[in-house]
Amino acid sequence: MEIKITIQVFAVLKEYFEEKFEINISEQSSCMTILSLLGKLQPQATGLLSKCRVANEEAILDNNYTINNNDKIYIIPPSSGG
Amino acid sequence: MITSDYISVEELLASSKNDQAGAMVLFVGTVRNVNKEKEVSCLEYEAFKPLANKMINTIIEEAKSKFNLISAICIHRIGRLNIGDTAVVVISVSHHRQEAYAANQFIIDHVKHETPIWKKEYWKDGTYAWGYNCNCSLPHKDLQEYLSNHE
Repeated sequence: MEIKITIQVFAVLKEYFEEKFEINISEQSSCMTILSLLGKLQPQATGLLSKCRVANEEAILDNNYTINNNDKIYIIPPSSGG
Repeated sequence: MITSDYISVEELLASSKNDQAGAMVLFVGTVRNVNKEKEVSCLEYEAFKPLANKMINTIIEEAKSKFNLISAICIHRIGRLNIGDTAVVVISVSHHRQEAYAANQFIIDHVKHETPIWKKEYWKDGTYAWGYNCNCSLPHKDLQEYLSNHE
């Protein structure tokens, strides 16, 4: 069974993906699965995605965190503030 | 705190004054005109504001506790910035200077490395590049380490 989630990307990731998009994924998918799936959609971004973290509005999520239906998640590239 | 507004260093310093303080350390990060041997035209900062604000607050609270600060603030600007503009300000206020210095370093290091803020650098030759992790590799020393290395 599949679930639908919304993904938002930032910074350099916008060179590879729409800033915000919906995607169907398998139930029980983890953050790691999402990053892997995005790498399949955009193979050129695979190296970058391996350095990215997945977050919600409250925190960076653990790689094994299970994504739920209708979740909105954010893909966080390496920081470069300051 | 993340802001798209001009940062007034003078106002932040004035608001940080405290009669109990023996030291105030100010760090101002500004936009320089050269990077990687190329002339910089301007910078554009982007942030995931809800999480960045939360993470900055956590870093500030950790620094206040770890270094026994009277107060601390960190403000990072987003949007397009020109050469010389202030991008980030950290002020640490404590009873003695060692804590204020160490805490200021701690705060800016953690903000640069951990918070979801990104820099897009525009060069004068018309090209641009997104920044990755900054090149600074200072360890996040606690005060004891800091003092033992500087006595």
